[in-house]
Amino acid sequence: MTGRAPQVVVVGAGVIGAAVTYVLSSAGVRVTLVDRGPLGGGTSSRCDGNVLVIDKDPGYQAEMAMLSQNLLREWAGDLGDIEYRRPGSYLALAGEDEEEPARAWVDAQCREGLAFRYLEYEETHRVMPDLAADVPGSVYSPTDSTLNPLAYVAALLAKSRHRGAQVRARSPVAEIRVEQGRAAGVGLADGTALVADAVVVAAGVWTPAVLAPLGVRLPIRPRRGHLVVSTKGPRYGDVKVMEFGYLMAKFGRERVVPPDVERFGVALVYEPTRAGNFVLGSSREFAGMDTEPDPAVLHAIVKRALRFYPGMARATVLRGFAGLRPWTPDHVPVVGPVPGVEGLYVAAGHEGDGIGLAAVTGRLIGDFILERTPPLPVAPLAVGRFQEETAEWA
Amino acid sequence: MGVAGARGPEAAAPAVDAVICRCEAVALGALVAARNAWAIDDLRQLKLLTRAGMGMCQGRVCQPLLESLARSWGWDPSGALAARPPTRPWAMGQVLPESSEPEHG
Ligand SMILES: Cc1cc2nc3c(=O)[nH]c(=O)nc-3n(C[C@H](O)[C@H](O)[C@H](O)COP(=O)(O)OP(=O)(O)OC[C@H]3O[C@@H](n4cnc5c(N)ncnc54)[C@H](O)[C@@H]3O)c2cc1C
Ligand code: FES
Repeated sequence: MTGRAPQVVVVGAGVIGAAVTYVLSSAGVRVTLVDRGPLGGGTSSRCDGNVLVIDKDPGYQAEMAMLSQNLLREWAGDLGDIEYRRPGSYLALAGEDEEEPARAWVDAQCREGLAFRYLEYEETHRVMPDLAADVPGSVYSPTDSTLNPLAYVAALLAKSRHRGAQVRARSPVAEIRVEQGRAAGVGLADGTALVADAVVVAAGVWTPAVLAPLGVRLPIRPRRGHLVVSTKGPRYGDVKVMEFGYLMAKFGRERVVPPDVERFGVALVYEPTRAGNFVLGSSREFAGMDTEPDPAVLHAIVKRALRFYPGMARATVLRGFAGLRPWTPDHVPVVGPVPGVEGLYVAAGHEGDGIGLAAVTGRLIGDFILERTPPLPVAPLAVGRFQEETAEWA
Repeated sequence: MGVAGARGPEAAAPAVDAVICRCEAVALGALVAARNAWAIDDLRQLKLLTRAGMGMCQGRVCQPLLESLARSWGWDPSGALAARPPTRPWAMGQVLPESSEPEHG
């Protein structure tokens, strides 16, 4: 691929494909980005915009998230107004039984060099005066940031176009063309052929369907999540707050929660927005590809919010929506070359972290294609790591 | 007011300061600027990036204006502004924390 600028086709204009396109076009690569629908019309416009380290496993996942946060800070200056801010984030505890695992979590992150802190009762309620009085403490991560996800996608694409990238909406990819063991381009549904030296599949939850005709199997599944949006009106603090409870599973402990909270995988997320309302989350379920909001899930999210913010009984909900997180069995995305097909890459499976991890993912795909040294080990992200899971599925 | 009177491209062009979405105070000029800055070609994208149609009335008032604007730009507006459940604003206090079974509806 040396000698002349390579030509790359990226499949999928969500946040991941947009970040890949931005990195490649900034490096002088000729990129064509194609999406079957409108740009950003998949999960990247049915989600929240948190860029978090606070909920990542200490070690590799936290390191990857930090790298992405740092890259995003650099990019933010180039991208214009994407509502990027860095208010930090908090995990509120639901009961005293969570205190010990929360302190252990903070210690583990601090050992990895992250600036986490455990906040005692007084400080917790000083920073978050609207929290229920029985919340015993909280965890604080100072570097966590937030942005408007669709504005991020749109800004990445605007800059990429400016640097020569071609962006084609409403152009479904019908096949990835492989010649003599090499990716040769893609065929669009209307019969158009796009020739390329490399193809990057960044099709979110649709990635397995795009790759299946090549015999490449990936265990990426749609894990649906709901969010609830309030009207403009009273807000319940200026900081982003989640509950510690949904990390409890990582410590192998049971959560003591109402049945619908358990059933829909509901955990509190409270986020004040720049527009003057707030967003509440979240849920986690495997429910197929359906994104029609389920009122029962919206109820469960609201109920969970009231447990932490009793004052919200005075607030009004305006709408709810649902999106499909591209889940993987080990909660780590799939970023790298497809074994056996030279020039074919996957960048997908970011579950609930695609907005936050887009920058580092773009960087890594750029490093693969341009044969640069990646900023972190890539083995944990490898396409071929799911032998057992995929065998089960076949 | 504004685009409401516009039946097609031949009608007089509405003023850039004509308010299209009252709830979110979005004027025509802001919609055009967003469309141009981000090369938007889809009404749902335009809505999400400008908040037009996302206000208290959930687009009931501005939907016809936004749709006619989209059509005048050659876009297919169908589905972009579909109301999201709950279809009416819903007081959170009506959901009691101790009620175990949510009503379906
Ligand atoms: C409720 C909810 C809240 C979330 N909150 C956060 C958060 O706060 N922070 C965070 O980091 N992450 C969050 N996420 C996760 C994040 O939204 C996803 O990880 C991310 O959007 C995935 O981006 P993607 O580009 O991989 O997929 P998508 O955005 O879905 O993009 C894939 C694209 O591929 C296209 N495509 C599919 N098939 C084809 C084909 N054959 N040809 C051409 N194009 C095709 C689709 O049209 C689509 O546009 C949340 C998710 C949900 C559901
Ligand atoms: S007028 Fe646009 S949302 Fe109400």
